[in-house]
Amino acid sequence: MARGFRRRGRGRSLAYAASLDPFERHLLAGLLRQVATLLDPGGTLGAATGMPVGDEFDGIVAGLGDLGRADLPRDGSLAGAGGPDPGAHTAYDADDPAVQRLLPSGNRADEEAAVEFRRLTEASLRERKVTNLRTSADVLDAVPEQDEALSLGPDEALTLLVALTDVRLVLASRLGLETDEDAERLHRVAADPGPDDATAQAAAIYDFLTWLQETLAGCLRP
Amino acid sequence: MSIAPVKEEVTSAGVDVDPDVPWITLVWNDPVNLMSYVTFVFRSYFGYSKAKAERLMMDVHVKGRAVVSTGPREKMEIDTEALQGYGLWATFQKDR
Repeated sequence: MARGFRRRGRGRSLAYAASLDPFERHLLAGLLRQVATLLDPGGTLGAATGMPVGDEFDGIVAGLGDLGRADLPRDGSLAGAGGPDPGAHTAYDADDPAVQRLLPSGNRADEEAAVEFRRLTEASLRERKVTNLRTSADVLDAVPEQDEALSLGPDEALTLLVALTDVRLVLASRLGLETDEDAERLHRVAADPGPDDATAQAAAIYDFLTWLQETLAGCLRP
Repeated sequence: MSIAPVKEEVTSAGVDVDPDVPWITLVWNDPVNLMSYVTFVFRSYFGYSKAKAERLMMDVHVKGRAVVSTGPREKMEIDTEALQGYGLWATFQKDR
């Protein structure tokens, strides 16, 4: 049974402690890596030092389905691309609604300004997100297998807080969550699963991540 | 002796017609970001007081969007990118 984050100690010993069982920890690490892969299919950005997403995780979220898109080649290559591709650094699915939410338009009033803003900022924004996501996954993977205690330093806690947002944004997009009313409906589905087990499972995972992030946001000092 | 005032005049006229001031950064409501998280981001990124951060957060939540910063275009672009880094749905535009 998970316990949310609480602030422990002060000064140099300040830490944010939670309790996650191995299943919950692997689930979260796997989701963090999936979202990183969504933004960086080639695995060329950020702290790409951790374990690859394995069969164990695939089994855990079998009902959830892949957060990636089936029509995107798994190796991240652009279908039909021949020879050196000058645009290879953008070999992610820019048309994917989840990616569009992670890297939104910067200007809704002026398309030209939006294009210019994207040209100037998207690469660094994407790299920062990928680094955050993979760093948090690495921290979770470094916990000894049977441990439930998770203790994060202030920097690790902030990184996870932000990374949790990106995971929840992608899950929400996959679940078709667009309004505050959708969010309430999803919460009810998670609490009282109907015949659609896959959706109920995804909703339960989303609810779990929402709860975990709420506990972390509630105890982090700005 | 007469040069300085003329210079000053030219400078202030230039500021008045400067198309880059003022611009605004907007944050739009979304069903995912938590009220506690949005408040946290406004406090930690902008250094706003708890009261101001909570008021802006409620504006986003209730009115659908809020102006979270005002200034020259370059600064608004920096704020927008930073807030997007936090996962907030931020945009910049000319104030109208």
